[in-house]
Parts: sequence; C-alpha cells; structure tokens
Amino acid sequence: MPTFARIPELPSSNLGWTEEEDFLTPFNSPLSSRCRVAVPQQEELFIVEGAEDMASLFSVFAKDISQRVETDLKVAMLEKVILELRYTVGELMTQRTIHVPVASLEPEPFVLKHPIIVVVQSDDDQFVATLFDANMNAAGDTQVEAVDNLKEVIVSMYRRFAELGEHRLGPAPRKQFQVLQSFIAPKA
Amino acid sequence: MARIITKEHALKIAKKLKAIIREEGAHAYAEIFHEERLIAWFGIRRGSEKDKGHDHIQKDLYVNGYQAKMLAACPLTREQWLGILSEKGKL
Repeated sequence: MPTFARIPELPSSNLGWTEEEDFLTPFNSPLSSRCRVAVPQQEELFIVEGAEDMASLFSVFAKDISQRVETDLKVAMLEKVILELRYTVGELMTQRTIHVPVASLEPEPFVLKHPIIVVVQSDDDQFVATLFDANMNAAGDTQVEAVDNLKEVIVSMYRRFAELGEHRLGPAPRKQFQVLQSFIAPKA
Repeated sequence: MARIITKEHALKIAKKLKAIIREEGAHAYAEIFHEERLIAWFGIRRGSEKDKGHDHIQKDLYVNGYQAKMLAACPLTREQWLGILSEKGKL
C-alpha cells in the first residue's frame, strides 16, 4: 500500500502564503505588524511513497470502470432486444393469423373436391380471408364473416370465369379459374 | 397493419381503372378488362361505411400498398398500372 507523508494543515487564508515576523520594526511601534511575504510553498506537499503501487491501483480502477461500462452496454443492448421482441410479439398477437380448413361451400350448388385451407389475418378492426393458391381475398368484420365472404367470392368468380370462357381471361384470372376448377365442381 | 385502402378508395380505383361493376350477393365486383380480356378484378364489400377496409385490393391488383394508394389518389394512371401488370406478366 502507498504511504503518505503528513500534510501540513494551513488555514485556508494562508494558502500560497506563509507568515513571517517583521523583525525590522520595534514590537511596540505602530508600524509593527505581521506582514505577509510571498514565499513559494514546497512542491512536495503530497509526498507519495510507492508510486508503482498507485499505478497498479489506478490500473485496477480503470479495469473495473471498463468492465462496468461494458456491462452497462450489454444491459442496454439486452433492453433494446427485449423491447424489439415485445413489439414483435405484440404485432403477432394483434395479427392473429389462423388457418381455416374449408370443407363445404353450402348452400351454393357446388362441391369441394377436397378441403381447402384459407388463411385469415387480422387487419385493424377487420379480418381478411385469403385463398393463397388462387390469390383470392375477402374481408369481413369477424373471422367467420371473412371466410363466408371468401366462399361467396370464390363461387361468384367461378361462375363469372365460366361465363366469360378462358379465351376472355387474362393470365391471372385464367390461373385463378384453373385453380378453382381443381377443387370446385358444380353439383351433379 | 395500418389501413391503406378504404371502400372510398376502392370505388375511386374502380373508376380510374374503368372497371365494370357487377353486383352479386354481399359484394360488388370491379372487373377490369383490357383488349376484351378480364385482366384483374376485386371485390368491394357492400354497405354504407366508407372507411371499411379493402387492403386486399393491392393483392388483387398485383401492386404494393403505396401503388394502390397512388391509384386511389391521382398520380398512378390506368396506363401506368397496365405497365406494372405487363412487367409482371399479368397482361
């Protein structure tokens, strides 16, 4: 451990100054006074022994501080990641995507050759049902309404495509018609 | 997801794209023809609420949300939209 020499205690008013008797003036003379004479104080006010120990102490302090800063940075980064995850989870909870298997188009006079999967996503205060294979969508105030609307759209557009005929369909509607034909058929 | 396209926008888009409106059941269908072929269509929910969401229209028209909004506003014309469809091989 470093050792410190005794630090002389000086009144604050004396800092930088020392007092010396004025021996030139008789004691009882009105001119007698204690005058102030500027005398540079000793530079070795703090006498430190074991400077190497001090250096090692500072090095320990510096290392400790750097570790603290590093820890604070890691904590800040983790806080940021947690906030992002919380936001993402919130978004997922809000969107509430569900997959609905549709097995029937009743009461429409069509049958499904096999069940189809409709994706229903929340969108603000409404729901959008999508048949991704055919890129057909319908919205509704509830999930059930959105799926019902999509069924209606599917049947209506199937009829419309059939009415127009393939030669009057552009590439996208033609593909939609082909997808619909693969799983819808009019009731016999 | 923020609402981008409302029913009001949907009707504006239908008008701008010179769509033929066909009504059936709970929907009106805006059908867009080009050179006598149906190239795109979208459903519009019937009802009085003008702010009813129709964000799916962007998927029906093969455009992104920004382009859909531009269709509803002035900047994107029918010809420019046809150009987008052509680039995507939908024409």
